[in-house]
Amino acid sequence: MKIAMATLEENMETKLDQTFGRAVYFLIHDTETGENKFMINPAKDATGGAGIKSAQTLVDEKVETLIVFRLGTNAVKVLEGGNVKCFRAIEDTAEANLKAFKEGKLTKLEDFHPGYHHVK
Amino acid sequence: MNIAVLSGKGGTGKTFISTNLANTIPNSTYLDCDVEEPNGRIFFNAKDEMKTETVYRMIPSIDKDKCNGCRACTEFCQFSALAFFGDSPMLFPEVCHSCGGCEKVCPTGAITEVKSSVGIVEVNKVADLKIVSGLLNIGEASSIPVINRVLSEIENTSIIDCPPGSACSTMESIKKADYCVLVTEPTIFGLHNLKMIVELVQLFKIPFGFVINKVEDPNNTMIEDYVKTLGKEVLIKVPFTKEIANKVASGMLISDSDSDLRDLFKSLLNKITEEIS
Repeated sequence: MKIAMATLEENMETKLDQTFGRAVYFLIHDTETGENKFMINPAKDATGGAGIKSAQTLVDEKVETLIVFRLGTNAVKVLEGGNVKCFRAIEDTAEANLKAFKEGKLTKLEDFHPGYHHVK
Repeated sequence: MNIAVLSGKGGTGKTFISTNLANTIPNSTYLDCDVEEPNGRIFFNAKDEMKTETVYRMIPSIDKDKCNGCRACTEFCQFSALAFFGDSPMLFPEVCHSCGGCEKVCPTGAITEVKSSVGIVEVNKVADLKIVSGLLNIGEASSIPVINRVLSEIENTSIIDCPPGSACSTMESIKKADYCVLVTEPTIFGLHNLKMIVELVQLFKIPFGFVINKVEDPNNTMIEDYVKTLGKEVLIKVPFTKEIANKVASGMLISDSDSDLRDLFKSLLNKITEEIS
């Protein structure tokens, strides 16, 4: 299974980005291979539709789980359509979030905001 | 001749200047391009609408039965208005810019364009003055289609009341202008935003001139000093008086009741006409 997070840096000690649509990096962890892949978010400088584009990127990467602080309603529509389950991140490193998820300690993300609309 | 009235800072008096200017020009047209909050028509007391029309933009409609999942449309859209999951694309209409590209790249004809209402345009007539107002629907992201429909009613000498600021809506509103009147007030904020619209009209290469509204203190020459650095003179200055403020607040045209101000607006047109020829 692939687990994704929006991160500030390209290493496992990084903190997570407080936003999603215009996050600089996505971490994609493959639970089967143990591999950690970092990719630059193609929507990071988008003037509009950033949530949609970021979510589409993860759906296309076949991500099944997303650990994130907050999501806008447009991103949620795409993630739900792509069957990506969203969990609320904790204020800690990417490594710690991954561990917490695997131990079943993260809660589902159920409240969403109307979107930041062009503002990072 | 089309004269656009813009300001940068809101509240400097675009509508005040443009309504009164139109009022002193026989057989003219007043066009309100501030479609998010049109207020010019209030001053003309138009009773009978000549016509009201809905303004539309086109958005894609997707026939899932015809879609073969090639994703050409999703890849093409540079606004990310289309997302693809499962077996067909999903449209986010508020992000769509109506470019029509997705329909063109679709190989199976699964995408057709359909109308989506964005606002209305109202045309009235009072005596020999034609009054055109655009009104954008609440929640609509772009005023451009409504502004364009308003501008299509340009006829004879046309005074175009622009939206505040210097962004997309204002740029669209001045596209057909032969001359731009830049209205400002003698304040730091007024001057700051005035410089932004000077940049804009210079970029568009439209001749322009300055009107200072709400003039109170003769020792405050901040606007005149700036205008001089551009090698220009101020066209007219309108004083800041309680009488004018009261009349405007009551929705009345000052050029109807005050003959000096009526002459001032007539002189504004004369100066503009002279500059253009």
